[in-house]
Amino acid sequence: MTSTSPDPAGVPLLRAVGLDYTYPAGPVALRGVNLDIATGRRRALLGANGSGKSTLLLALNASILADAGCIEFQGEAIGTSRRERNLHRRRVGLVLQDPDDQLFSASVFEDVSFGPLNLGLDDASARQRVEEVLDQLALTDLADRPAHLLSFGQRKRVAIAGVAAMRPDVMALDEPFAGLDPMARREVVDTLARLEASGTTIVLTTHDLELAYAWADDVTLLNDGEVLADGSPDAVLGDRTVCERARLDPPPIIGLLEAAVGAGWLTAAQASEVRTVDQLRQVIETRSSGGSGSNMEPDSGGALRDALHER
Amino acid sequence: MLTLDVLANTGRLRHRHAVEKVVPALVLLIITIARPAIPAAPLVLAATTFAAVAVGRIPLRRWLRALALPAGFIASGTIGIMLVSGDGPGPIPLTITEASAIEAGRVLLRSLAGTSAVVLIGVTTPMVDIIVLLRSLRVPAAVTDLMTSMYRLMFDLIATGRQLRTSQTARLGHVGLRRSVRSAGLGTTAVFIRSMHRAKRLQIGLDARGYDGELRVLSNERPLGMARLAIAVTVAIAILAVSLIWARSSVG
Repeated sequence: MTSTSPDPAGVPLLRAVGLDYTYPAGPVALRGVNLDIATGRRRALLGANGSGKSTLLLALNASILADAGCIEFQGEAIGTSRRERNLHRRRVGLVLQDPDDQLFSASVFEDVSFGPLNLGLDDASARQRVEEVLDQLALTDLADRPAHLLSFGQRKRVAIAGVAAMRPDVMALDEPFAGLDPMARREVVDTLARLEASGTTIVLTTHDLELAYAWADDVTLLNDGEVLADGSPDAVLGDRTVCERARLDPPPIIGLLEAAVGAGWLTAAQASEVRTVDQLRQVIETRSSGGSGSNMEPDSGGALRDALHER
Repeated sequence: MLTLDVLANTGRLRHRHAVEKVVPALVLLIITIARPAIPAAPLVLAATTFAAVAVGRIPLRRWLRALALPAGFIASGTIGIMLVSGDGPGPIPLTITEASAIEAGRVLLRSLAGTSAVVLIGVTTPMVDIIVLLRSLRVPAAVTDLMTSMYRLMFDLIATGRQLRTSQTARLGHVGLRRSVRSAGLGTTAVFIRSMHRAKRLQIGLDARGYDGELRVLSNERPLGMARLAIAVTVAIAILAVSLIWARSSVG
């Protein structure tokens, strides 16, 4: 998890102010959405299908123009001219859900070079930038491959690399984990961590609440184009009423942690450190083997372990 | 088409500079066209097969399969050359003379040899490298951009079409000719609509990366192996020399 943000007080890196958006001849997608994204804080946008998550990402990157409200970058509102929107897109990169919507070029190397060249870099600098990004995201081996010979997970990572090569301050990713097997999902999580290490702030949409709970610093719950809740994963996803209104099931780990705290096996402070079922299992196993001298009954770890296995 | 693409992108020669493969193959193609079929065509056929199988390590069966489809077209075309009007054994006034058979054999050999030179480029040189080569030859960006997009989207289209067909077949959409025709029509419509949606999303993706109307990209540079190129061209010229000597000795 990342620490507090270096942004000046009251001025987040990226902010949405009162966004309204209706698709032409379509449904209302956003209703008065406010959102603050702080430098270095991982933000997950959550919600059921059609809740407005993806539209909000498009608005954050100025790919669509809101009917009302505005986007601010470091406190400055983004204008509606093509020039200003293009300038904004250099700072806020967008990765689409389906990598096939993004990869247009014949080979990985060519595709990743597209963004840097559009930034106006000369060939030598662009080439260096592409090589750096492919190396950073462990994609160098795929540089010569055509996109159609890559796996879905590889195409996702290449699509991320294509945006990362523009070195945006913020990267907005639409459903980066959708349709991936567990291994490919871990690779994408790892890819995001590498980007964060180089100073990129990540905002993403996901349906995977378990992963959002483990990954995010801040989560925003959207429902029917409105922000239903905004805050820490514990506060938002721990609120069953809010989750039900958003038509989402809270991740099972929350119920397990509540049960563990309720049974006196973990203190609330200890529980707040646990983000995944794996971590919970480790804590229980350490304790049931008498590792840290807790007040837990020797058998109760087994009972909870059974509950985990049943899951 | 797909077989060629897979072979080109996985073969042993894929990392070689396109010029090393395209130039010798084109020289062989020109020799095939410019010189009499005997002995040039069998020699060219042998050279392309050696290059593909021994140098490029493409399994012989896959090389032959890559040649099979064009060979089928060529063979059906030479039937017309083989048959000449005259009293045949049956009621149709067509017959095969010795001269027409030899002529058909020559055309068959020559076409096959020329095709094999082109297929050799196809199985050893990824399309990406061919486009890069065209760019370096100053072919207009409009052409190479179009080639790039078509190459990329073609596979997308094939995959979408296949999935649609599978889903139709699973719902008995291809039982009988009538239903097959109807399903194919519906499928084609669906593919077109999907293409339009995809084009829209592709535009969003390109715009997000600063697209301004020109698809500028950089290619991964490959070193040009002059020695390898020289060896390959020497082989081609040796075939030309044999052909010239053969012609002189048969005249003499």
